[in-house]
Amino acid sequence: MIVVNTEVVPGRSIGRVLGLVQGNTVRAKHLGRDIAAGFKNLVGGELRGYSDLLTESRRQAVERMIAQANELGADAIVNVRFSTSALTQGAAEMYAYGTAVTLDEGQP
Amino acid sequence: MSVLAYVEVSGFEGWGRLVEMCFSCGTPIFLILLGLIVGSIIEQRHLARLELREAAVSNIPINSLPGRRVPIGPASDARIITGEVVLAADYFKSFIASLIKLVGGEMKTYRLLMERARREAIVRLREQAQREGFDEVWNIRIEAADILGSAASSSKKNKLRAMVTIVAAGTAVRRAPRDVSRDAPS
Repeated sequence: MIVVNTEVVPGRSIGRVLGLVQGNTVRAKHLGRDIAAGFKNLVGGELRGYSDLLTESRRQAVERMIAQANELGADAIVNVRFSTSALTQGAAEMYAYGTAVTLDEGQP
Repeated sequence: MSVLAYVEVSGFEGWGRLVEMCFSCGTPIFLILLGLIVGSIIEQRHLARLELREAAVSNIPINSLPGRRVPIGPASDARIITGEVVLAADYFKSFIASLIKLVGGEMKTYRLLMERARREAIVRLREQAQREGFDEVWNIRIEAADILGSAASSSKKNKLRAMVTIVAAGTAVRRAPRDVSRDAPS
């Protein structure tokens, strides 16, 4: 599965547009991370726990989106966008969406 | 607790009040100093590290073009890559920002924090592209995410807590072996 956030797949032409595919996840870190984040707010610096949380969430959302595209029989997902929202403190939703397409053989 | 109370009470009891007073306003002052000293050390080291890492990935050009005409190699090589970072403000930065909130104006301490977070997210994205042997990153999109929740940061308990979350994504491509100059951005 080719996953890109450009409007076309570089070097290939799009056959059919199969429609929107999406994947999301809501993840939270354990309380210890939140307490550590509170301390970090005194001295500044990166909140590695939250950064990792985002990376994991993103991977999972993309995996779910790819699973949906596979069901449709797509070759690629183009114009992928991410969006996040905060439900409650320390928990984040990561939402990935894109357009599933089939690709024609050869160069455009 | 106030200065007036200290003036009215004399002798040993007065000293006790003075010590108590120091403790009550000492904690925020201690936190502000801690934020100022440790916070600027962390900031300076981060900026120095960023300089080095940006120099190391300078061979990976990035752009924000949607990529209708991407000069590339095999199509299967194009892939979405990401970089994310969560950065906390120190107590000193938040304190300065809360002062500026009274009179209005630019919150420079927070602006620099955003700038640092963005640079970090972009460097991570370029480092990932470099690790996987890509040549360029197209269609970079950068956005600030809100993982703490605006409700959380507006509550009284978290008044001096701020953190920024930057999420960057782009499409990493390899250059075509030929015709690189034809479509490549100048």
